Amino acid sequence: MHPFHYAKVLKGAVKRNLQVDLNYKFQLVTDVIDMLLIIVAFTVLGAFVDDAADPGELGIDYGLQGFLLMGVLFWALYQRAYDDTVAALPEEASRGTIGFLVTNNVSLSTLLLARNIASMVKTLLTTLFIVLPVLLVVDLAQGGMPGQRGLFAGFGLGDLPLIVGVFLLIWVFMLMVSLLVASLNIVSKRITPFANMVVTALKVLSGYYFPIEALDGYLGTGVSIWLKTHIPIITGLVFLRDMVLVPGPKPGFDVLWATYLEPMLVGIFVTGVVAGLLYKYLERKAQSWGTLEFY
Amino acid sequence: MLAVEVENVVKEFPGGWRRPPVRVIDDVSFSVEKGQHVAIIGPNGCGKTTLLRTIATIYRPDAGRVRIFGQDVFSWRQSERSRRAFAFISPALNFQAKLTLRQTIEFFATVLQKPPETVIPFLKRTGLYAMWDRRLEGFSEGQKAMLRLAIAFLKQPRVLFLDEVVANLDLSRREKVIGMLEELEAFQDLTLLMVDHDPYVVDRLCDRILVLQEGGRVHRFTSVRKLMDEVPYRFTVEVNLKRDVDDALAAKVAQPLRRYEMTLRYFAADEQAVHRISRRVLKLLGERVQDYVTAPVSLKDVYYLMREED
Repeated sequence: MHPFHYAKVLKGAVKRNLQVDLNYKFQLVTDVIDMLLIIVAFTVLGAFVDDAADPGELGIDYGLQGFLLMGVLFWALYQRAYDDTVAALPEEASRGTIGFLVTNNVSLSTLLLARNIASMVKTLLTTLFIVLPVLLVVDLAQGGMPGQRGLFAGFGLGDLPLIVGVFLLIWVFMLMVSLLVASLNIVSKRITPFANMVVTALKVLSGYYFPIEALDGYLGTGVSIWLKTHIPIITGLVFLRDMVLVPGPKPGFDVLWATYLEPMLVGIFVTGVVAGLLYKYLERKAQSWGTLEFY
Repeated sequence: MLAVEVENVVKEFPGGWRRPPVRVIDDVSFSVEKGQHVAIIGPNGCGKTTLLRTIATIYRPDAGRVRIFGQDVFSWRQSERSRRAFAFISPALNFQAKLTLRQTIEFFATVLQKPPETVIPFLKRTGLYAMWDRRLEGFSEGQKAMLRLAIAFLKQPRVLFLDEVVANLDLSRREKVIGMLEELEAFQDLTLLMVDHDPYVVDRLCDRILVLQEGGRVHRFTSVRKLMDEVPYRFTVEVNLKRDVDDALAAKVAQPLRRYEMTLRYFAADEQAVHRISRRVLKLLGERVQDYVTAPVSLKDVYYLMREED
């Protein structure tokens, strides 16, 4: 397909997804309420642990509350898009549109990409206009001051381009993971538990619930370092916490490149190749097995 | 000029763990000339829909080749171009109920690289245009069937694949859809390959028939006219019973007779035979008759007779 036409089809599919999503207002509202409940729960949990323990004992350079809330912010950006992308093919199949679209040169990967972009647009709006302001209010209420102390102690506007760049890299990584998991949906039914398992594993490993340094005690020394340098989403979350939570001068670009960016790019490349090959193989198998339209 | 060429196509589906694959289409070959309207018919499970879906590239064949206007639909280089020539519509194609007709048409127009205006005359003709800004959740099944056809014609295809487009529609809606298709100038010019169980629909829309038999093999590929000419009768008398009658009494009315539960179907060679059968129906079956209809033989009779041959 000509790239210009591909872009038009992708834009049309994204628009259609957004039009449909906007019609399900109850889902939009419950998504936001769910997010606010998570923020409240982690704020209370973090404050409780911070009052009772020294952050140094947890192996981190900042309070647990900040640690947890930064994880919430991070996953708020990616989880909805992941969930929606994995559910996209069964949704299209239930509408009977897959056969029609495939016979019109629209591949399943285009449908997945369109679903992912539409969800990211929705998520970005929710994060920018609801999650971030709520986190700021929570932080200010507890005496935080952006750039000085609290949740955004290390944040400076100069860091924004780098943070946005890392956000985009993690988005590409999560898109690849979504494609990988959704590919299984082409040939197998009811993969939701598997999709949940993958996201739970990524959440645990990325340090959503606890610092991954804690894993060293169970799995051996150096496990956390290996994870930080081989799984892009973990690298990304560690980067975000280091940039936003830790006050003081930042390391130079060469250090950031070697510590965060290069391992992330390698991880994204490897994940992309695996996801692409698996997707193409399973799409071909689905055409052969006759499972392309059925879930 | 050949519009569709199917050569030695074989299609198998996995049979399950440690079971051999199930062969649904077995070495099927046929070709359709440009402008011909062909129906694929045959008993349930003989692979009609699988064959249509394979030709439309939804399934990949295990062997054989399919060409649309000379382009191999499964060749890496030609598949994209060949797909531009045809439209495939099945009743499985449903729509996002929350979107309006306008939003739906705009989406499909983007996918098909056609301006949405292309289909507006069709929508006006079917009365759907009056619902342009209404959500599809309020559309009836008949309106959705029309919308499926609208999307097919939006593509302006040279070949149209229809998979039971009027299935599940009541008689009046079915008639409306068929009538609409017959009137369309675009429909007259294009090549049609369709699957439908209903002989009435096939009779109205098609001029050739591909008969598949159990096991997915071609039984016959012939014209509707030729098939009809082979029936040695000109008329039928169909009797619907309100109370059961035994087979011996039914057979006493006239021969040949075909019985399908509470329906008796007598065949007549000429008009005199029709009158004779009608009189005997009233005389011998009397009040047990709900109604009876006399008509020229139709494709439905060919179906019945072919089914008996099988």
